[in-house]
Amino acid sequence: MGGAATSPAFDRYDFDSTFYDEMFEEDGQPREHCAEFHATLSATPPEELQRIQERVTRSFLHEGITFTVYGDEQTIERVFPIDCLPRMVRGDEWDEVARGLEQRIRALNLFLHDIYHRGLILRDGVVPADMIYGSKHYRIEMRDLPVPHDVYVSICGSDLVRTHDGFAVLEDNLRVPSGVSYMLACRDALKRSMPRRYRRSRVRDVEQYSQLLLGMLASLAPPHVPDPTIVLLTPGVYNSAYYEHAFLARQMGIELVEGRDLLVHNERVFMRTTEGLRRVDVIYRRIDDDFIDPLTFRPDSVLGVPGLFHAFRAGRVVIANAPGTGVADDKGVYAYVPRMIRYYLDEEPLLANVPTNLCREPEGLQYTLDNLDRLVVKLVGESGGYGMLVGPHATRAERAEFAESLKADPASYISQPTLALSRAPCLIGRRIEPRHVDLRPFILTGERTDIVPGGLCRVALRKGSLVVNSSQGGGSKDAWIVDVEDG
Amino acid sequence: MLARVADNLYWMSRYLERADQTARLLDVQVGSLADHPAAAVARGWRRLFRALDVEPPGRFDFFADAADENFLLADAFALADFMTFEADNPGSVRSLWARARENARQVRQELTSEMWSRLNRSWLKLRDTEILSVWSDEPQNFYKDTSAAIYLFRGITDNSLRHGLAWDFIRLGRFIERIQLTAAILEAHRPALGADDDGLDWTLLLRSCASFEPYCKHHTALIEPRQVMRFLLFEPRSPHSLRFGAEMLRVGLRRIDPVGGGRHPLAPPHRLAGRLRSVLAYSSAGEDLFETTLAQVRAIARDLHDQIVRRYIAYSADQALRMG
Repeated sequence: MGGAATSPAFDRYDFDSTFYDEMFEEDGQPREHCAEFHATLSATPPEELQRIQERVTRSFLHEGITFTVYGDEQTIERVFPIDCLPRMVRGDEWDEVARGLEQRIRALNLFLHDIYHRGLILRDGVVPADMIYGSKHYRIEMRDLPVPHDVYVSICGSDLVRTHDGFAVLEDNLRVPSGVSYMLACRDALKRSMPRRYRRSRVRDVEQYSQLLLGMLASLAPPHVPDPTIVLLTPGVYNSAYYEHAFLARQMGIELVEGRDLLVHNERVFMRTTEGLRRVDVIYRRIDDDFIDPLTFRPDSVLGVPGLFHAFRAGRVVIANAPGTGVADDKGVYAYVPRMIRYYLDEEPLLANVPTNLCREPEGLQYTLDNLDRLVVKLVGESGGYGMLVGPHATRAERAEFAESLKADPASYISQPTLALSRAPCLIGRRIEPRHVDLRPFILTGERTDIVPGGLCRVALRKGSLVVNSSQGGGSKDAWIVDVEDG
Repeated sequence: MLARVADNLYWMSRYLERADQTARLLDVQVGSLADHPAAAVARGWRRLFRALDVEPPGRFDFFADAADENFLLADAFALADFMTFEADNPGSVRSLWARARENARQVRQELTSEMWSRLNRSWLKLRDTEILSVWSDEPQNFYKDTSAAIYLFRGITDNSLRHGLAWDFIRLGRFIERIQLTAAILEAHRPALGADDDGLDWTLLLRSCASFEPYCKHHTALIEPRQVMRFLLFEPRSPHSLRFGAEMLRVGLRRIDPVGGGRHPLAPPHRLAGRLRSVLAYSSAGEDLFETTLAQVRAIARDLHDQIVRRYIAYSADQALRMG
């Protein structure tokens, strides 16, 4: 088996070695862990592949797996696009990634504990104090407040990219990461549409995620509450991730509550049921800090629960993730994570960052200004592409204009090289073609850390595109962590 | 179950019941166009608007135009459009469906996927239908299909949803709405009992309450007005009679809240449901009692809704905390 691509579907597959290919070596041979799957693919006629694709898409349609696109005029619900070919990662390679993620979340939790207590890392000048205390995501209300197991980030979704240099972290989502329901739905759809291929590929399970999440949330409850009531707090049906909130609540068998379902009395949190008020012990919140409690944070919030933060302060209820974690997933702070790992753990980072130039540092600024045409420059406090310059795609005038704002306020900017994201084979029509992908694994931390082997693999389905966001032509793939047999 | 969830399911069910009933009234009213005198058709419209408690669009004066054959069909078209599709009319069939679907959407995770899918598909079809296509085809078919879609949804509900609290609140909403609407329809027809020259076709009332065939099975097709009223009020086994609805409410409340129904004094909803049932089960059914019985039923049903909301949905936090 093995050998070069033989199926007509692989005709004209682009083996451009500028990008790391997830399935093929540079010489066009399938990688060892993909060999068996590649062989079955090669033996599958394109029509059969299309049928598999149709089955997978239909299963998403029937499940109502949609996302919301916010347009100027109206909002539209679209089916989340899914590609039927899995992206495969070698088991031993994944184990290294998982160790790196575990190390990273350990350091990030120590960092959050530190900056909300003594601030040693700031005093020692490893991370600039003004960057933290000046951040709009720093919650002064969290100062000196204990959190269970000293864990601030219980649920983390980190975006990983792969280049020829290996895996690197592009971003940590430490607030309310989403996407895990798509991971589970992709897996479910693939298993049902190609059961034999799935079985033969020895893929590691991800289905235990909901159980692990529930167990983790229960472990955050105070020890004197043996049978804690856990709820999932959603902003409601108009939130773009509402499908996921409903999905997870149903999977875990817990109530899906909105702010108006909860009330606080004597620093205790209750939910309104038809049988009266019921005490709530742990809240898995899927709403942002700003909206949790109008008395403490944004007074105009109608999504939150008045007095919730006071109940949290008094230790009467657990909120996961803890408020105030956003300060650590700021793009500027991100650049310091490798230094945090060395500082707190005295270890070398196992998982690299994407090379990042901090414009607050003179050499970073100079390098950025000298290479504007090759770099992506980002505003640190923002997300979703705001205040960003993509050097190679900008005009000379735009770059000159951007350079001025950069020089005026260098501390607010970072720059990164444009990334040569790896590519994985996707079914495009009747043909298999490579497309750029990333990977978002989910890291659960309570008493211990659990990472389900896999994640949400996002794919830029438009040819040549590097944008994996679902609002811009992105879709998803199942991510298979496969073990290669010894010998 | 979360109070908000119960509230949404209860209202979803009320709106669907009301949409079903409105469609049926329109079916019967539009059907009467073929062979009923103009004056009777005009009186039918008047009763329909009164029963549904909807203000007819301003320019219609049923008294003035009552006998004008020329305007009969044009008016019927406009009135049917207003009661079926008008977005600005909260009582139109389409508005009622839209609200039911919105209530369902808010608590989608509580419905089975079969329920949601049926509700959604029926809604999409209704949303895209216009009066012209209904009118140029057979209007009565459209109204029958609309009711049938709601029957189908109920069947799916009964056979795919666990018969727990969600199911109980859905039934509660259905029968509260049915009792209130049926009582209002009966009240709109009651004055015709005394007036022998009214020429009211009492089969239309039976059809409006989905009770023509059950009545015929029970009493044969000899339609006697007082018998019709008695049947719709007191018959224990006909699913659209008031007594049947009262029994369903009593049983449903015991399922939802066994404690409130087993303790003295009874919880307010249980007490009211018991009173409603005794009014309908033990009434002497004297003919002159129709008026007082209907007035009692309507008052109790209104209070019952308020007490259900107060006890299970919008209770004050202070009160709940005191009760522990």
